[in-house]
Amino acid sequence: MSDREVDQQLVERVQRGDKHAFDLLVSKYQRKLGRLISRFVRDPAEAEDVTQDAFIKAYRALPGFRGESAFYTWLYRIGINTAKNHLLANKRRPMSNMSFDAEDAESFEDASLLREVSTPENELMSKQVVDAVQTSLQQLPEDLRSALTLREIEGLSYEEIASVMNCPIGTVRSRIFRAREAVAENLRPLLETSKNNRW
Amino acid sequence: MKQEISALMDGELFEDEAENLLGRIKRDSDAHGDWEIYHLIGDVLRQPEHVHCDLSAKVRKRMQDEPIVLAPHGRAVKQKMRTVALSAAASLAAVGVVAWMSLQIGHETVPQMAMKQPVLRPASAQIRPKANDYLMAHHEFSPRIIDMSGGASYIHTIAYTNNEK
Amino acid sequence: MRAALYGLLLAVTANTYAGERQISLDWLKIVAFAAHQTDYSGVFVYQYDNRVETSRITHVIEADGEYERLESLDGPKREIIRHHGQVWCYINRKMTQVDSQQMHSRFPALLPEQISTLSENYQAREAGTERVAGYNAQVFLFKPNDNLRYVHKIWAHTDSGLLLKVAVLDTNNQVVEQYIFTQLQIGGNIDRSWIGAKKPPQRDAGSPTPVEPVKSGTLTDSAWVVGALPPGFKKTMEIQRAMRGKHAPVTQIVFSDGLSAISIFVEPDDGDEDDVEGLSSRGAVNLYHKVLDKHLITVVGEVPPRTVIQVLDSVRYNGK
Repeated sequence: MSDREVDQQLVERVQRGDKHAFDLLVSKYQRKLGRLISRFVRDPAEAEDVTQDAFIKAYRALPGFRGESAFYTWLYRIGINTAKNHLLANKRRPMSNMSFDAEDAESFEDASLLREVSTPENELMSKQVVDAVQTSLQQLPEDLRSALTLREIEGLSYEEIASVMNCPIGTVRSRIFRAREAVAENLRPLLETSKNNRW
Repeated sequence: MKQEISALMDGELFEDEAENLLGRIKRDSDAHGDWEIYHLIGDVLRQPEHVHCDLSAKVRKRMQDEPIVLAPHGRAVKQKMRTVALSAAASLAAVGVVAWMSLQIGHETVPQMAMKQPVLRPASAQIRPKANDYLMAHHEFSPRIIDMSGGASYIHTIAYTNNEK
Repeated sequence: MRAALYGLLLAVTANTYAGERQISLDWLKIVAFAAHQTDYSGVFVYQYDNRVETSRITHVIEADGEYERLESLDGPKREIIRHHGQVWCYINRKMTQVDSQQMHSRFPALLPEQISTLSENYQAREAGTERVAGYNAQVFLFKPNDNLRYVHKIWAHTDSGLLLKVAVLDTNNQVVEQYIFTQLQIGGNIDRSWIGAKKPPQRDAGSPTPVEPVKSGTLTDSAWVVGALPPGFKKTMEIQRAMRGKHAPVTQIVFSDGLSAISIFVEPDDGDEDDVEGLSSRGAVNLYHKVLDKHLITVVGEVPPRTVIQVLDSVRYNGK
């Protein structure tokens, strides 16, 4: 299964009435969608509300999603429309070019396009999360760190990582998991304390 | 289970394993937390400058007021039929083992034969049923090194028409 | 057939003597003929996007022309029989007749100019011999001169020219889709019992679903132009046609580089929410569509995603 097929599987579960599966999609895409929307809506708090709205719209529209595009491409489109409508409703001009197509959705990982959106209240938390992740990553044994980096940053499949690292696929799977878990271990206390805060 | 979640998010589980695991995650809030945090880690590694939002709890709360949505009955099956028949049509031009193309239902995922996808490739993007007409029209005029025919396209059209009834 | 094949081998040899690995494209003609002039029956696998489908094909020549039968081997039983541009489809025992006469008479296979176009855009070379489905095959590789099209690799039976395997690869040499015969009988005693038996009388079996074939169109020359076609793609056709579910005629412009084609469809945008922009694909075929100046533009081709996007993004109206 590809990543996309995992999404499709989640979508189908939602379409069969499983709300929880949508929750998993939200967890997965909230930051990506949030970044997208903050390209259009300057105010961070507003952007966050619009992002929530977009997710709810997506949920309502999901029965009509037929899998002809990737789920996230579809979601991004809803995000853009929600952002546009928000700006129109407030009689404001969009801050960036609105002609946004599927290709942008796929490539908009490009950080240089993105503007920093921050408020004092979440900035600190955000910084702590980033620090915790980066520090834990540095503390990992080399093989775990490489495996996780190849997966998350380079986007390689287990098979490709196995050939790069010259080890069995099962080992890759276990290394990536151990790396994630080690980082998560350091993150959990941080997130616990801020459960009620925005981060 | 944590390790399976990790593999699931990397798209490295078989479909039935994934289905099974998703059922288990649903009943286990810790598992949901793992899913969430592993994704957070990935996002932070890729985009450290934009991590400040945790909407999932808020969206979850709002979702409580949302009705359960259901895709219209039978959609999944129809979709599959259309897709399959379409796959046949879509493949026509490039190929030529035969003048006709395959049209069967019931794809099978074969991980050991998995082909890598080019970066831009929209993976298994299903071409919409409507789009099949474009493919059919396109294939009529494709170079026919090897004879190609509209056979599979017709099959699709038929499947489509039948489904509409 | 034999003579043609010797022609093929000669063409290859001649160029080898000339000290180059490039091959003449003559054999392409043989391959094209072989598909029509050979009796064969076999099972092939179509593999694309992590999926596999299996079919059986039988092709025989009778006094009144070619007969071809294709059966699906997975899922519900489906069968197609083709003869003289006529197509009969049986799905779950229901028969449907489709006439495709027009399509066949109008577009002959492999025009000479296509072959020359092909050699301009691809480096064709011999890539050794391999065994496929128990037969010896000559392998040919077509490498495009840029990364805007796919690599095509074909395995032709050394005796008959029949294609035993076809693969479409991306620039990283990853398979995008492929067809492989896994079992094949060439010539000999091939089952023909289906020919008379299945010949449908009238359209009355069960409740057949009449299907309208795509209507033929009329030649036209609209003012739509493409600014950024990959080099070597030449316009082969421009028509106005009716399409199912469309009220207005659709303009279709076709470009080909000899091995692949790109079609551009232009129609008035009917504001259908489904027509939002997007890229989709199946195997080697990519489709990209978006609304431009109140027109829905759709680009389809057996070329990489970036190519359909590049093409669509350069479409513009050149009229007044």
